[in-house]
Amino acid sequence: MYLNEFYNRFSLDERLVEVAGHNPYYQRIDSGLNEIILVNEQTMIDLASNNYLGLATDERVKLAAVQAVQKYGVSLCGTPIATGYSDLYQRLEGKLANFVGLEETILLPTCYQANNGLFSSISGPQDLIVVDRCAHSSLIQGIKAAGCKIRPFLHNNLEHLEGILQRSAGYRQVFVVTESVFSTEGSVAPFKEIVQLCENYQALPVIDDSHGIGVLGGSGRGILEEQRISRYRGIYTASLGKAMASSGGMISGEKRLIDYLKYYCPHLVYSTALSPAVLAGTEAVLDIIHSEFGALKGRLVTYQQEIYQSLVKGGFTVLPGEAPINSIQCGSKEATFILTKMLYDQGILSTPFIEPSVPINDGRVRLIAGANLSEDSVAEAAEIIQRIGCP
Amino acid sequence: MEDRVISTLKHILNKRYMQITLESRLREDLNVDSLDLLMILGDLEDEFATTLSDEDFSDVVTVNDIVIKLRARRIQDYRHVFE
Repeated sequence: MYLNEFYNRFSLDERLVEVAGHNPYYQRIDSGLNEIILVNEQTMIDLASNNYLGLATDERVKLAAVQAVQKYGVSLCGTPIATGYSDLYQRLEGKLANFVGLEETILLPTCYQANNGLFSSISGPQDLIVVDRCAHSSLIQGIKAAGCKIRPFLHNNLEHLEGILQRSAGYRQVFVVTESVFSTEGSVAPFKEIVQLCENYQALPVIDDSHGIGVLGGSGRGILEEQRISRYRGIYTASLGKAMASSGGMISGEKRLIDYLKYYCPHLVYSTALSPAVLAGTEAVLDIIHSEFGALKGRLVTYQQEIYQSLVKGGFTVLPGEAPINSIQCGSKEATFILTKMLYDQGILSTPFIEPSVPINDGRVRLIAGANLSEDSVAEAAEIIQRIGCP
Repeated sequence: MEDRVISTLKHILNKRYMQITLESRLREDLNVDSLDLLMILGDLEDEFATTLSDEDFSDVVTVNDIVIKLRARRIQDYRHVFE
């Protein structure tokens, strides 16, 4: 039967799960991201989600979302170019553009779509895209879909990047693409220097600030504020599903570009608009960041340090990240899964990364202690980590 | 040419694998993934002042396979003439 042949192509390799005795993916979450979460009906400490500022279950955010549902319903059942462009939508675009300090912003259903749609709209076979070797899948896949020449550069390596730029004549446009915070490493890009290199070689910088917005900078405005990059003329993308505690993705930049994308980015034009609850929730998060960022960031950094110290005492190899992320080097994918299981069994939910998310045999387990956790929960997590120790 | 190819690999792989030989297998021995291969090809383009298509190199298994592909493209190593 031809149908059997077709479906037989899609079998999963379950050996890794058998070796580890645990599948860390698609674990069922039975609660919101509260102080203690329910995973498969078991209470656990959340060191896995990207809820950096802990605002996903903030009462003010929930209230804003509920009020939006009461006023608009759950959906406007249309793309932004049609019936999806509510006053909520327009207002959030403006607030986010102002927040990151750029002219205009558009909102997409996810940052994955934002990164995919961006490159297929603005680049083609005549262009060169130079991209950090550790850039997120959404950037890599978006770049590949554009059909342009791709040159990865060594992670955060300015010398390698400049060498490539020096020999990049003859293209219609050269783009340099990177992330602010590399979430599997916790490292931060030397973006100010990258922007300078772009100016020197007439390249256009593109930054994905998904793990930086709401986290970096003196008031949480992200990488541009953190590294004091003024008059930025490149392109900026970010997820609203991490510190912004909501969902969706944004593209920001000069008005001419954003106006163009509003009509020519298919990922925007043909996608149902973000729902009213999401838009209102994100706006409420922005208001909280404006008034409480200092205290939230203080807790985030304190918790990250406490977890870091426990990992060091436990004998783990932890990458020296600058972001509020602890990334444990595990090596093989089997070792990565086994550590995730050991943490899980002791009540800690963590995030494993294996190839292709990271280089082969360079697995990581990532821990993020959000600002909503209590000091007691973080102390308990630190004690567990130290007790488990490096296997 | 062999030395220049191995030197390029060492640079890209951050000297993690000092024992790179012509017989080294890219994936199994050197943990080279698709992005690493793109970086290697890019740096080989610079090294030999040529243009390479990643599709042409998608079936390489060992370091020597890269050398063979480069030679098949009539890329010459003239450096020894000037040394």
